[in-house]
Amino acid sequence: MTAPYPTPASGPATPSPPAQPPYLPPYQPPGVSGARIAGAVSLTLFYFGMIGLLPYYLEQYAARYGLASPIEPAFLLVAGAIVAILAGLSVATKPTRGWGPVRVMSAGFDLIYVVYLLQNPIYATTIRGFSITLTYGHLLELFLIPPAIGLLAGVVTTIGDIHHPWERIQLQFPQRA
Amino acid sequence: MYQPHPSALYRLAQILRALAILALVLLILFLATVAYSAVEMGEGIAKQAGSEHRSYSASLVGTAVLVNVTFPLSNQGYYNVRDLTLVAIFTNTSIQSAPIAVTETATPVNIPGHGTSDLTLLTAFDFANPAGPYLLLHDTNIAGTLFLNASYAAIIPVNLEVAFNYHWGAPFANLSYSLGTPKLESNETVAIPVTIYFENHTPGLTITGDLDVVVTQPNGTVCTKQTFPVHTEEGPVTLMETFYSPETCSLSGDTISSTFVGPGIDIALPTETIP
Repeated sequence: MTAPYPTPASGPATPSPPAQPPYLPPYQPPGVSGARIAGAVSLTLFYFGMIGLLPYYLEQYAARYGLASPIEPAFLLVAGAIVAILAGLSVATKPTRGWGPVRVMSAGFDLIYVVYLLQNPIYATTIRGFSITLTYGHLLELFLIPPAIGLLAGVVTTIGDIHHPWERIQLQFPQRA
Repeated sequence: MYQPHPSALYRLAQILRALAILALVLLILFLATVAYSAVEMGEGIAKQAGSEHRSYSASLVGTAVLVNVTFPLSNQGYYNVRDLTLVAIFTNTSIQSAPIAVTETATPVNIPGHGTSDLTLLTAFDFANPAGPYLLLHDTNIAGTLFLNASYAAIIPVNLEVAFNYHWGAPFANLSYSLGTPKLESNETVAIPVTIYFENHTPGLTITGDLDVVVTQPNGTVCTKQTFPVHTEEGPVTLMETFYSPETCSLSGDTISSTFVGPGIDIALPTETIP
């Protein structure tokens, strides 16, 4: 019988050792490296720019032309920062068993953010005597799908990490020779 | 490189993560194309608004003037505009507290992407309403509000409200009756030269029918009745005729009233007292 992972070489007369559970040491998990932290910070800054700062400045720009938004600009910044930090944390913790719970938190906050925006999904403005009202509730509802699936993925990952410790990490970060 | 056989949970999590990313990418693409299409459509409508490609007609039906406006609406975007309805409300609170006219598109209109559809608004200004006598004789400004409701890209309801000013042109503006000097006829009747003047200010309206004019004494006795055939497009109309009434009719203090009748038309014009 062949062990499911490489074992130290043994002499031909030695009987086979009892089967070891898979994905246990000698595999050494990579841990959170400096490069990973740098990547996580970069992603956090990028996300904050795209989800926090960009909508904030777009709203400020639109407000100058009388296009008022029902969402507070400060809320966009704070929510964008939280989304970005959780996304960065998700990258940083990927080689650890904390990744699943962090993914759950990240997707959960994304869901809460979209649900909050759904409370007032009406954009009304007046341009040159034209009053325009856009109801974007159904469009926002579509944006519930990715975080909902992401939340499920996080839950499944967490359960998988409990039932098969190190399996995911070993598959995603194979031991280097 | 060594690759152990992954568990079902691991594979399920991988699939879910891929699905989440795919859904997000598709949504972002959808959002981008919706925004691009909306801008394209808006620019198309703005260009169209500057050109006169609408058709306009007016006709007398029953006790009302029907104004029919048809205009094309183009959609230069990728996505359909569905269930587009227009509702227009015309109000002039100085002559009538309730709306003077309310109109809406007969059936919802669909405009396919990169397509054009005609929108028709049929508005009835009914002279049987309290404001009717005023609208028959006087030009006025009527405040209009247009409500547009539609569904864009299947999931985005759009409501547009536009306030506008509608200049009403009266079909019998400045209606007046002028009585000349009565002349005693040999058969105990009096001949009265009567001039009726009015201006048709309603654009596109052709007035065809008969103007039945009746002179009535205060006690209700009809002194005389005369019919004037009328056929006029927009502009002033002068009708001259001689009325014959019994010598007993003094005319002074009598009332003169007229009704415009035609095929399917019966419009009572305001009554005047002869000084």
